[in-house]
Amino acid sequence: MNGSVRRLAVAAAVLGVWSGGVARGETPAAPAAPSVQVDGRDVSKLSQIEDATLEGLLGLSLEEQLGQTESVSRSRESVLRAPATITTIDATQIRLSGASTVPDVLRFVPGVTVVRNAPGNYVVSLRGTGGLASNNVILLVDGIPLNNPLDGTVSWDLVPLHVEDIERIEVVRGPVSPTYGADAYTGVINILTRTSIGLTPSYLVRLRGGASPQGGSAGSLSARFVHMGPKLELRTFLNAVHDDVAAAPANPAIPATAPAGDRLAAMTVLSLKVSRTSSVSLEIGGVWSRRSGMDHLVLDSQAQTQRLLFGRALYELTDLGGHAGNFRLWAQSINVEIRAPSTAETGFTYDGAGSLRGAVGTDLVFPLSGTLSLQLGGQGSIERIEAPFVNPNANRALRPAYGFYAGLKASPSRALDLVVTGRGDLVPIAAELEYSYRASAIYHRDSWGLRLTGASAFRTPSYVEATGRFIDPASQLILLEGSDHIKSPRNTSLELGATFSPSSRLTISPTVYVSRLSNLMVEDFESLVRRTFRNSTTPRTFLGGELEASWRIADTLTVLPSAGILQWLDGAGEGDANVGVPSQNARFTGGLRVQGVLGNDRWGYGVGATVASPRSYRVRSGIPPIVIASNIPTTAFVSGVLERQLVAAPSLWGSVRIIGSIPGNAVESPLPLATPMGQSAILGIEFRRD
Amino acid sequence: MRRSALTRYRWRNIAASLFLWPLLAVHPAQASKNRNAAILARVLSFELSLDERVGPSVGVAVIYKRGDPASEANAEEWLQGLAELAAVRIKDRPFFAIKVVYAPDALRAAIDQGGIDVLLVADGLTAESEVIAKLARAKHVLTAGNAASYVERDMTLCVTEQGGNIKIIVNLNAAHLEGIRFSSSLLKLATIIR
Repeated sequence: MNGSVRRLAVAAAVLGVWSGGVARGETPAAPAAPSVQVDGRDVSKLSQIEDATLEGLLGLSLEEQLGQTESVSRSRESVLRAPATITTIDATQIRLSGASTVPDVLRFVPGVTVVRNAPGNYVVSLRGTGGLASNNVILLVDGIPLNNPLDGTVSWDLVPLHVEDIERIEVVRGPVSPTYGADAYTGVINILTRTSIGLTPSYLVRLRGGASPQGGSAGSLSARFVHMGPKLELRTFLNAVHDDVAAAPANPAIPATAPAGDRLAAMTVLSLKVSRTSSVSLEIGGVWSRRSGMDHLVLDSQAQTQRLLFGRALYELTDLGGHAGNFRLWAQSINVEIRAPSTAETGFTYDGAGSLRGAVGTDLVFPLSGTLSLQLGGQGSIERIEAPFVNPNANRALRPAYGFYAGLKASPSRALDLVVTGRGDLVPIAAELEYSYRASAIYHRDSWGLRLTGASAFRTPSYVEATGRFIDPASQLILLEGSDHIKSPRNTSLELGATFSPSSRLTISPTVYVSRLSNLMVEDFESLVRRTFRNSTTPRTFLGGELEASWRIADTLTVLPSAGILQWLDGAGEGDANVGVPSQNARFTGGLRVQGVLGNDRWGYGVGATVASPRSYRVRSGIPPIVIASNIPTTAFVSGVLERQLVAAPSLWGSVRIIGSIPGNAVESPLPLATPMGQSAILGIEFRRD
Repeated sequence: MRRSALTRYRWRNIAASLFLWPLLAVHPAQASKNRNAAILARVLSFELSLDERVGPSVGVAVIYKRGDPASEANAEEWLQGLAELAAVRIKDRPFFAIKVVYAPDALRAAIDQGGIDVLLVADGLTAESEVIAKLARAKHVLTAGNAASYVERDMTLCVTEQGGNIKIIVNLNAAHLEGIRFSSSLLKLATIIR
């Protein structure tokens, strides 16, 4: 008898015994129910139920665990099936990062470079666009862009709420102009304001204060109120910040001290559910900020005051044409005014600059069939800028802009999504139609997903680059002059990303990509005179890799490593462009956070560090220009937090936060008067109901 | 002659199926209840107020209606599912489950003398749920229902299957009245009723 027949005979014998038992009228023993398994372990044999994750017990797929996002396509989709690389940082991760500003939180995201110029003054860039310019990424708050319409820059001091009143930060890396139009050519950072999953109404008052061994102090007073009713939702945020930490340059021979970073911010979101499928919402906010205006044009530490006002009205209709349809109609506006009353020491100032943008738009997702959906959208906007450094012919003019996009998403099988999106934009400055596109194939299973994306996107030239004209009042020399012939810088990339989850405790997301930056902006100089801007004729190509992981070792301990590497395939044109210069980008960045909650969530802790490999700058900058030659060594940012519930009812919390750098007086900006990264110890107390 | 790989594969499948037949014959409702019971136990580990209101062990009373076979069968499934976890501890506490027929006095006695910390209500007790909830609020005992309708009315917790997915439903107001607080780690995964 061969082996198979023998096994069959044994099986039949077993079956026969059981069948016989039933036939004889005996009560059969109740068959044992299959044991509940989580991550390959029998739950009934665990010593503690906490050794099984709730996600594993619920049988959540990786797609369900990663949740949903609207930051990639402006429509709700799962993170796993989104057609771009996205990192999500939730409220707990933000709170336990110990960071007190959004840029410091972003240091832990692979592919993100953060440079602190002075208190409240940061430059954040993505994927190889590290440099001195801060207009290479879009900042959104609840989907509302807050870049200054004048020059596309992001002022991180204008984020209108405390960093711990953020529900989630979503960082989309790679070209996303097909969704957002101009300027989203290296990525988008979307800040989503806090909601409440607990009791309603929930509220919080937070007071923080501390000092730095390098001199200076920091403090904040903030509050939030959230009411989540069945029909009405109201969320209000207030924030007042003083940051005077490490305001003096690291070199004691330089007497200039940057002004403190101070700001006052308020914003409110009011949403009304009109029916089961429709809602309207109104979001308004304002920020007053004062900090050093130091950047690649203003090299001194002059104080600069900014005032931001923004608002959006949104009507949304869901469940359109089936369950996946969605329609939105929105109108939004932003106004930024800049004052720099102190006398500029180096000839250029943003004093008197103001910009206003109003836009109306619509986004529609319509399911054509069970496997095919269409996305259409468009927007029209009007911009008005007024600045003393802009050509009088361009000043105070109303400039319209239009953008339209169309996308198709096909799901030929349950595991495969194919997404194609194209967009055309008529931008206010460039006369020609700018296009952008993205094509993605996403293959996903229960515990892993693979994505291939090709995309191309652009940044529109800013008013400074295209229409600038700054005349030195003393010498009458033209120190800055824009060029109306410049083309839009463009980023074209191909990337392969994966996410997999070997167990319900561990998620790993590696991404590799190749990017080509073309038409990069070059600032040409003559002696003492900034002549004009032009496009670089030499594209830059680089390979990049990013890795992030989340390993929840236990309910009380989560480890979050991240890393990014860059390998430039050509260094042609080294130094001539304002971004995309190999030596100005750290070849390696890495981060590690360890955080968790203990003792029935009454204790919270987190420690983290990021490191960036050396960078070097050999550029002419400022107006009139000076040569900046600076080597930035390997620097590390460290942060930590320990918090404790002091009183249970009413819920009163105390905390201590420490932020520092290695080496202790490290300066990460090449600007001559830049101040160190800073070290501080901050004590906090907060009263919560949530 | 060598058998083909396909033939070998078939034989193995047939044999394996015969061996696995007893497992396949398990009633699917019991398999589901075993999982739900494990989820219920895990949810208890996310209760921030557990240390304050629970003694050296965590006791669950599965309540059913006398004379209602469906209610009794439902309770029996839960009891079997919870019994599977007899060796598992919740926050370092041993765990036990008993079956109790619905009667206010019996429930009160179970809570006061039997070390019961959770009232798990089987089907068939909709009319009685208000009384059970009142008792739970007075004694700071967690209420859980087999069906979502219990949580939509006045109970705190439900682990149930909806559309092929297992859902945790939490009624925050009921939890507040019972003196129960849950970790945000749980609430993020739950359907919240306010």
